[in-house]
Amino acid sequence: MNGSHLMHNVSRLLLVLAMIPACTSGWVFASTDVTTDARRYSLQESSSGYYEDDIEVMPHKRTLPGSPANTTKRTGRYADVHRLVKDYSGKIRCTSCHVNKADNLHTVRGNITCRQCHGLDPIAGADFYYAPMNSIRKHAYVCAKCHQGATPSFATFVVHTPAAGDAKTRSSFPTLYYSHYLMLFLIIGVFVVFLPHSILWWIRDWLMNKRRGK
Amino acid sequence: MNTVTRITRFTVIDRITHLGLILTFSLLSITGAGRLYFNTDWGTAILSWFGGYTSATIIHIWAGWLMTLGFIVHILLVLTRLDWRSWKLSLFGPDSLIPTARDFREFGQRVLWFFGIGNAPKFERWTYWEKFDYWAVFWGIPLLFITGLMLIYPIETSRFLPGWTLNIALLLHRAEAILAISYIIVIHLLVGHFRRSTFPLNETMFSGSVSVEEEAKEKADWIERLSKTGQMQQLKAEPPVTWYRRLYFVFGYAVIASGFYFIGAAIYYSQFIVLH
Ligand code: HEC
Ligand code: HEC
Ligand code: HEC
Repeated sequence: MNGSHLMHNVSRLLLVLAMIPACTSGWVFASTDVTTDARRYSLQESSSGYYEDDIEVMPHKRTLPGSPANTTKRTGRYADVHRLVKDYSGKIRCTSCHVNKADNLHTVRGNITCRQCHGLDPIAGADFYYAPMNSIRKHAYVCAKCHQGATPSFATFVVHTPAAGDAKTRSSFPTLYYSHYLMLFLIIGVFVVFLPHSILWWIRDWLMNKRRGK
Repeated sequence: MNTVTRITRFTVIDRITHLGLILTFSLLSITGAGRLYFNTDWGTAILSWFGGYTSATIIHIWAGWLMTLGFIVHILLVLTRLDWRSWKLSLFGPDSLIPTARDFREFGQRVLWFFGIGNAPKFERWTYWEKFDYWAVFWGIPLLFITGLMLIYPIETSRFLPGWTLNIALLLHRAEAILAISYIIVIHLLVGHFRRSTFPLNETMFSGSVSVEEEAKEKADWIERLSKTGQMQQLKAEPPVTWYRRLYFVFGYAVIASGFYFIGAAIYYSQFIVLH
């Protein structure tokens, strides 16, 4: 084996070694959203859970305890959700019918229109298998239009965030519901203790100094 | 024994840390409020000082990094101050901020005393409310840091956690900020400075020193320990010089006044807010 051959092999080995952390760490920002089989698998797991052969048949299954449910029965299995809506026309504002749907971070802060996410007519339901909103491909077909590198996991963010303290949220998004009440009781608790404490202290301080003639 | 009339309570580093906390906390509160109230007149006014929504966000993020940096520096400092050979005393002794059974006892005693029952507790170096203030900030900063970091890097976060944790992060970040700001302004500023015995300004954290005579009333056990162990001499301090005193009076009142304005405006404009 001559010298240059050896050098060639060594540098090749170094290159391969250098690629191992890059492939396994998941920190390769400029590549596609999925870097290894293990990661691809875990990301799919976080978006869904039910497969027939390789095809996901039941999107929106919960994975972690406290995850948003998204399991309510909806009309979303159809290619055109408005197929039965009598007065529907693509010209009417979405919010004139879906009154509360504009209350979300994207519409309020990002000035994003409904159509930038839900697309042109016909608007397909999220559970329609071929819909861009189907959680198999929502990350790529919807979120990634603006959020470069969006993963299925990222797409589990609940865009239309329910009112955190609402009774319904307890089943639809338990973690949000309990975090809300945890923080609320923390805030109330702190002030219930320290507000009267401060007022009493203030009064006592006043009287005490008055007696001392200060 | 020559008498000591003033002693050091906060070292220069303590005071610089506190000043850094005031500055980053204020900047974060203001830019954060601009974002939260962005659809109100007040919010747009605030945002315009910082060059708009986007640049206010960038400043908010940088101020957040600075505050975290200060937090880390503070932890390192605390570690150097611990005496590892007698770590028990160092952690649970009277010079430590770690809450002990004594604090709960003193809390009860003091509440009774508010109503004229029994005597006021003779506090050691740190009273229970001072410890509470400290630990509130101590847990608040990491919580705000972690949730803030998640929101700065949502895509990277979703590689480790499911994306819906961003919904939670947003809620926690806001709630903790609201708690911290209202506590600081209502309790920390109002009660700290506007009691009869501290009015017009509680100067300790700025001057760094306290009068022994005053402190013997509030923290009798501390003063007693210092004079018994002879540490009083080492802590001997000079009163603050006039120009410095003027400076921190102006600064202190600027912060207090803007704090009160802030909480008033925040409460008034909260009726117009959109929580999204
Ligand atoms: C005329 C009123 C009306 C307008 C305008 C309208 N929708 Fe709808 N939409 C409905 C109704 C009613 C349903 C429920 C249909 C059903 O139950 O069969 C629906 C269903 C949906 C669903 C599926 C909901 C589910 O539960 O899965 C989506 C998504 C949707 N609309 C999005 C939009 C968007 C985006 C726009 C604006 C481009 C819009 N809609 C405009 C009335 C309207
Ligand atoms: C940032 C992207 C985005 C924007 C902007 C957006 N939506 Fe949605 N919308 C979603 C996602 C994601 C879902 C959930 C789909 C699923 O269940 O997987 C959804 C679900 C819905 C649903 C079904 C009911 C539900 O809550 O699950 C309706 C109806 C709807 N959107 C209407 C609207 C309307 C009306 C607007 C405009 C005011 C709008 N959306 C703006 C992303 C968006
Ligand atoms: C048309 C562009 C667009 C699309 C499509 C879009 N987003 Fe966004 N998103 C934005 C903008 C703009 C913001 C910043 C809003 C603000 O100012 O806070 C944002 C913010 C967010 C944030 C908050 C991040 C933070 O740091 O505060 C999350 C999470 C998010 N989007 C998730 C999603 C998900 C999930 C989808 C897919 C269902 C999606 N987005 C689709 C434009 C978009």
